[in-house]
Amino acid sequence: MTWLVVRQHRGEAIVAALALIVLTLVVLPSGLHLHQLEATLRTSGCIGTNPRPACPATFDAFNATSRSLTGIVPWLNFLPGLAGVFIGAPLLAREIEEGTWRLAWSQSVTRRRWLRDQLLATGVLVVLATAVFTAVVTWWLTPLNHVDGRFASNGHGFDFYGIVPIGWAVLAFAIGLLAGTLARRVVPAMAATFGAYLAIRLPVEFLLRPRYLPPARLWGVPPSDSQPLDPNNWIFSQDLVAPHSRSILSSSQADMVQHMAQAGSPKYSGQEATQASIAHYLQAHGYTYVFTYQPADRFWIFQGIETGVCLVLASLVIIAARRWVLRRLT
Amino acid sequence: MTAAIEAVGLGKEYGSLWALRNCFLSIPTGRIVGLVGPNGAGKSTLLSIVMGLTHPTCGNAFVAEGLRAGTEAALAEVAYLAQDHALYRRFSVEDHLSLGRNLNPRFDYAFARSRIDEVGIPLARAAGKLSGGEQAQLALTLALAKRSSILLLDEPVASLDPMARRAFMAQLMTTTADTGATVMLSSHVVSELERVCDYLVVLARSEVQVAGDVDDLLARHRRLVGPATSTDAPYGVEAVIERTDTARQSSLVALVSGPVPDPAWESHALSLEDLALAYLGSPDAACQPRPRLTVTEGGWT
Repeated sequence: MTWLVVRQHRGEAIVAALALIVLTLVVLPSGLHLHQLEATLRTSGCIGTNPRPACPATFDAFNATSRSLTGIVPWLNFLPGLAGVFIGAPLLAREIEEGTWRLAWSQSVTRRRWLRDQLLATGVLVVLATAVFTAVVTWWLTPLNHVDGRFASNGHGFDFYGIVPIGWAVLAFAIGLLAGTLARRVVPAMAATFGAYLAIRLPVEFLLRPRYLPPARLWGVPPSDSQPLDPNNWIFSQDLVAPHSRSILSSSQADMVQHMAQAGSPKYSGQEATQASIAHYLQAHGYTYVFTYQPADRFWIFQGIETGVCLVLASLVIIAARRWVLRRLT
Repeated sequence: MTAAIEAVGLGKEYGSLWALRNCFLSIPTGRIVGLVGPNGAGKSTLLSIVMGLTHPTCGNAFVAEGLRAGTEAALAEVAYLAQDHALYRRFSVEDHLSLGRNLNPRFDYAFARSRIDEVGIPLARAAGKLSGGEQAQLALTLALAKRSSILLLDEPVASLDPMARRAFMAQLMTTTADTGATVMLSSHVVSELERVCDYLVVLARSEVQVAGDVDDLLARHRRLVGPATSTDAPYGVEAVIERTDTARQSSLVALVSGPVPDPAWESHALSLEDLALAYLGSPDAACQPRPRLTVTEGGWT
């Protein structure tokens, strides 16, 4: 069986390797540039535990580079899905579509063993390729994560860090396997896999992920120059709270208060109200802020929960596909 | 059980359609079995179940004296040639031989190589680029080189031209004659099987209609030609399979229990093709050994 799985999947392995090399070459220039800028920022004390307030020139260059990237980065979330589209879906669909399952299963190897070895070989390929992919993108985005925080605040830390990408790739692979078994043809199976991947991925990312644990709350005075929470926390909202109560103002109420603060600011005469002057007004009138956020130290707990969700779903899907192949396929 | 292929109450249902049902067969070792029937009669389903590719809805299939079809031991005992030849289009001829060698304990690589050379197929060519005849030869080579005791061939010559058909059958017979393998081959053209088979199975409407040794079947069936006046069959006839009446005479294909003594009737021998066609023309007639129940120490089996 080793010979067969190597012969059947070496093409996919080569394509995956080439794709990863191309990806590395593409991200290398901007990655090096970002790392260099980050080093400059760090040595001049602009980032770190107590960032100095004025670091304009280097920060502008850094922001310009990172802004050009943040448009591309979310699209990379589709890549783990490709493990399902290009490796999972054709695995059984191609054998069925071209009739070669009759050749494969009429040798002296049981269908059970054939399937086990096929899944092992392609599974290892998927995990390895995703691990390399994650390593490359993590290196690329490290400067951004250092400045913006890796925990989902801008949506590009969590997805390409640690074990979550592997969880998603394995789930996509499992979906592809089942879709191929049911659709029995390669192209419809690929399309169904991509659709199903997105149908699971998007709700999990946007609805489930913020709620893995109940968010923490921090009550505080109106912010002036320094944020009370560093960017490694995943901050959902920063709400204005009415004086002497714990009721959060609606956004229109908050706007009104901000407006009043602007109008009542002692420094208002003719010039723009500063953040500090607004804060001063709000503080004087008894307003406070509440931060709703996921603390930075939950990063790996969330990684574990999301990977766990993916792997449990993947196991269920693989078990279903396996049952179908062994009992119902013909 | 001492049968090469044994089917016990075999049935396969697809949706609400029975592709095969109520199938009892017991085929002795070393026979060349012709499996005939119209398209859709269940021939492919039966072969597929015996190979272990298809799980029967009910009943069991056994090969090589009691090995349940589809188990690891049974898989090594059965080789199978699919109707469409089922080759990996991107694999070269050599890759296919490697596949056979790596997936079968008894695969005869030297035989396979020499047979491919004999047929004149380039080893490095992708299977998808071979002609239909070459693909058939490659697929047959893989099946033969598996060195199993049972060989199942699903419509092996359907895709070949008439010249290639004859050569293919001749090669098949010389190769299997040496090894003493049991061969079961299906066709919807009876004449193709007539020269090679010594056992006949006729499938019609998903059921076994005729099963038996060819010599035995030919001895028990006669074409009787007699007067058109008599509507009854003559003495000695067990069942009339086919009856053709003209103004002057009646012609019967009949299952007989012995010689027909009536001098008004002429008795002729039948060809296997005539016999099979007569049964295929009258699907309600049947001729097969009844399923046997044997009492063993353990009870009914």
